[in-house]
Amino acid sequence: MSLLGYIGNHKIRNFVRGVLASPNDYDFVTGIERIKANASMSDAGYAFEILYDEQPNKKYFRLPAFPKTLDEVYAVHVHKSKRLGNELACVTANFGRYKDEIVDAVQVYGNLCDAIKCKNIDGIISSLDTYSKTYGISLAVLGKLVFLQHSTLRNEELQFAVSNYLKLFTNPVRLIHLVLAEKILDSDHSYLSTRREFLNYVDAGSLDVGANAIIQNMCSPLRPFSGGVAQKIHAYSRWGAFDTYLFLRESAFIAKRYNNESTYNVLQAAIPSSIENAFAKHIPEISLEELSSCLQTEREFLDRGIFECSAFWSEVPSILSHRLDVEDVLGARFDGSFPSRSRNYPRSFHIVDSVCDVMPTKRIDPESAFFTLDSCGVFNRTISLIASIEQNPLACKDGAQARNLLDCTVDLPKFLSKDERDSLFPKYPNDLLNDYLKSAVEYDSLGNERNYHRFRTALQKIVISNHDRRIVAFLEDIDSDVGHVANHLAGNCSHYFLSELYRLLQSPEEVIEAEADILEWYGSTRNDKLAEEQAKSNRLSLVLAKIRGGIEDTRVYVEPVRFIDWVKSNFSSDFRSLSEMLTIDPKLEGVSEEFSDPIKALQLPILRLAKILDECYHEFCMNKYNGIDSLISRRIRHGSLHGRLVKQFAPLFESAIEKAAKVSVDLETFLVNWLTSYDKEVSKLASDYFHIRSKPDKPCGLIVPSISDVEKASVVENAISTLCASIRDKEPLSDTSYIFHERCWQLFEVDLKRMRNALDELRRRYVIDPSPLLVHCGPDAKSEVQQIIRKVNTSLQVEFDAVKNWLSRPESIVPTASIIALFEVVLEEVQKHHPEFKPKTISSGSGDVSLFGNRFHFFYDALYVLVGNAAMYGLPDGELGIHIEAEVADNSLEVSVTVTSQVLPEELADCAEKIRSALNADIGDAMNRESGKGIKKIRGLVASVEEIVSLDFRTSQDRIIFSINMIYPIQA
Amino acid sequence: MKKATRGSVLIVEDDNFKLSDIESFLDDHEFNVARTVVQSVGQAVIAINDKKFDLIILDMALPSQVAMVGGAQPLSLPTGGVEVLLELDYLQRLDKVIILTQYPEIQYEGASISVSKAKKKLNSSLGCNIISAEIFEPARKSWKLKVREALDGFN
Repeated sequence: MSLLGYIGNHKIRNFVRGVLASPNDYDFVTGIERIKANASMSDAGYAFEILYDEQPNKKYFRLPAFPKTLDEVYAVHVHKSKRLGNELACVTANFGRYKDEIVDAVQVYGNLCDAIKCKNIDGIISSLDTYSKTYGISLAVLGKLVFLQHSTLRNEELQFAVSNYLKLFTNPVRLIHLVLAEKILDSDHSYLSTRREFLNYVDAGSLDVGANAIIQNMCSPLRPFSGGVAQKIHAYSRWGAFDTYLFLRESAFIAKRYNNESTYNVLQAAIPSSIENAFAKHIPEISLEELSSCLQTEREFLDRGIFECSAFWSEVPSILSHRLDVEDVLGARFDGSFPSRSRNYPRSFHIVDSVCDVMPTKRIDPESAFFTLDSCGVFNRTISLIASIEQNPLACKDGAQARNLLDCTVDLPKFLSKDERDSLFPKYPNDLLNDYLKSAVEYDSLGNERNYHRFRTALQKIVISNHDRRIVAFLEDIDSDVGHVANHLAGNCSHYFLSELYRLLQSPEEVIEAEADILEWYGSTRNDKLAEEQAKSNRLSLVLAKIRGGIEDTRVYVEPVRFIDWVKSNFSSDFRSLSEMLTIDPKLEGVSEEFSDPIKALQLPILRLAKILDECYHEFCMNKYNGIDSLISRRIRHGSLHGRLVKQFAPLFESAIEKAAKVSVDLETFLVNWLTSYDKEVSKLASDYFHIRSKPDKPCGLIVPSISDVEKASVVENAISTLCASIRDKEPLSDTSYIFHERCWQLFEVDLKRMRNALDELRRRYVIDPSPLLVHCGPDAKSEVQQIIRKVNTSLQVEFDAVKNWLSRPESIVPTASIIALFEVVLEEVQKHHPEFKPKTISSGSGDVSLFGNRFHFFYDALYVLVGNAAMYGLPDGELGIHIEAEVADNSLEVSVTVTSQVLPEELADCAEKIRSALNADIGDAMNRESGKGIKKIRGLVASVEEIVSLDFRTSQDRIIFSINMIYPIQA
Repeated sequence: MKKATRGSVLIVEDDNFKLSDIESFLDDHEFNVARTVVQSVGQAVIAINDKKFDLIILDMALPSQVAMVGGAQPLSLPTGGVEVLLELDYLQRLDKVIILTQYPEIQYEGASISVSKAKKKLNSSLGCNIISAEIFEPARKSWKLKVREALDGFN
């Protein structure tokens, strides 16, 4: 009897016959789905055996045993599958045929796991090599590859092997599973956001239908999935027998854990015992401690790191069990819902009765204690707290305890429901710290303007009442060994945030000073050099404002330092990962359109770069405070445009109408109507055209805040090509970020041009043609009319030209100051400390040389030292000279600034000796600490600041002469 | 004989053209009110913390603080006026507010609210007492009518 005869149900026999005779793919797939949906498990088993044997060429059904390329995976058609038994019948047909190969693959994979556990680099490389050559690609191996990329096991040969293997997962586009794995393990990305982002893709159906189940399993293994386990197994079956086997094992483990006995039995029965024996023999047990020793994660967050990578170690029972323990408590909360009770009592995490019991009694050290609350890490402590809250509501007794709790836990605002937050952080009258923390928790949890206002208000109250109006004093007060609460505040204190502390900081200068103080505090306590440098830039901007001495009147301006800082802080990790992915000759055509597909942008590096450029340009145009729209809104649309083109023009026009009334009624009527219409059109320009284009609000807006704009296509391609080279060549972050700023300006030129054209068009429409008006004029009136019209037309031209000038990039968009102006400001500052110092200043040479960019505070510092020394040791009423020489050489500008001060002749030798001694002394940490002062400080600058190349010293008669030599690259 | 001051008005406006139109209107109608004029969000917040007003005429696009010659630049806040409403909400105050803006919409919680709907939406969301939201145009009568209604009894 043929196998067909073993199928009991005649309908199923017919379905099988139908599939065998199917004339096209559609009929074939429909037939398979019918069998899966209607057959008994036994009939399905026979049916798939038949189809396997008799349909070798039907690529849509035949599952790959060990796919070698992504194409082989994608070639398997994904069908609906809801019946677990029938799906198992389908995949076990594969197991039966490739049992021996699966056993061998388990052994090689086991060797890989063991080599990672033992940190045996050669073993890892050899196992990867064997697996890739013999078995091709696998999701389980992919997880290990990404894990290795982010582990402490770093050596060149290993990284080369890993990168080479990963290439199999990037053709033609990066596999979405790979992108997810990288984001999960990249410490620069928030795990919570990544998880929610990808689950949103699953829910929205944005992913390839075969990827949905696996992506969900990687993110949230316990979350219900439409189609259930059967659909998940089908998704894994595309990846070959080995991945299917591992997933069946994982599913069986989960079924057993949650007492789903029938599912467990069915799954377990589907796995051949020979494969299970191989698993038991070759897959090593790995403890959480062993896993943690491979992680690069910061020590403090080691426990979280273990959880995050546990998705890639699901074959190890202890790690899977830990993952599920965490998922039991946090899984739904990670995904944005708040169950009243955990689905399972957590096995490892301690349950406590009071907030006090959650606190560490020793220094937090997740390396030595994973679960014991006296010193475990902040992530596991958070889980204990939440598991405890689910048993019994807990409450902080005051602000100090709330601070301690927030310091030793992580992401609480995101994990707790409103009721839980309210009961954990009760209100206490007159406890300003508690008010502040409560408002911070609410703001972090929900966002929204009202909570933002409450948060700022609570901060201002406590800083004004208890900390002498100094935010830094408050930061010092709340800081601790762990420092989460202080870091949270420091991280929130952006320029924008501080600008909105209206009661605390009442002028823009106070805002800048406060920002600089906070950055300085953060830089020194967290050893963050970038923050210290930003503090200096901030202070320098105050100096610059003094130099400029006026109110900034540039209409269209995007503050470069803040924009570049924004680029740095938002995309530095993307640049790092893109540097390894971008190819030398990327295909640029069409990028300005294709990037808008969020999934494609994740999978193709060049589109990811295009998406970053788009986000930068959006920020450039739309930043609430500093973006182009905000500036155009306040500086052009808001009265100024109408004021300049209509109001300012009105007196001239009224006088023209008055004159016209005397010579020609036609002309008078014409001009009155003209003015009404012109006024309306100018208003329309402001209300409809000089706007960000948006549907349905401003469909005629001329600014398109995206690179997805046909007129920008060539600028976009050019920008991406330059950015691609900068990132691939691993240029310094500042340089790459600067290119983004420059390219955003080039993109904006396209929008500006549209706006200027609109102005031209409007002007052309309202230029008055005198000929029809002259027809009925007498000879005397003709010349008068002509004169009036000429005057109107000329004035129109002048006003429109002025407005067109507003719509252009300002010549200088980076901080700029002439050396002489800086010298004057430095002298003024020094005189505040040395009021007796009133030298006669003499300047010579190229006084008009200006320095650009936010790094010239280094030169300012050097100048300050030299002028300060002159004040301390020189003649108070002597001469103080500055001489500037500048010369262009190759691609650089060489600038030499000589400062000469006068001393008493009898003191010259002594002064010179002191200076020489300082010039020869050990400079040590001159640049690192405040101890770096005087000459030592300048020598520190010479040693560490690229553009400051040397400091020369000499004496002449009664003069002390210093020269600072600098070389600035000339930007092409 | 000069009438006694009976009411108080806070004008939050940084555009001199607009301010002069508002002030001329108040002058023309001889409202018996003390006027406080501020030009930035910061000044407005301090003013409302200082005392209650019978009417607040509130622009939306405002600088964060006042720019000084030779000083740093304040932030340009397209919907800075919302901060004043948030502050009133926080203080649980029901001072009457007339929003007088040159923009057809107001950004709140990331969405654009048209001026015609701003009164209802912001009042329900913030619990403040906006009696009217108007687009400012010098010749337009509606804002003048609303101001006159609000100050009825003070002239």
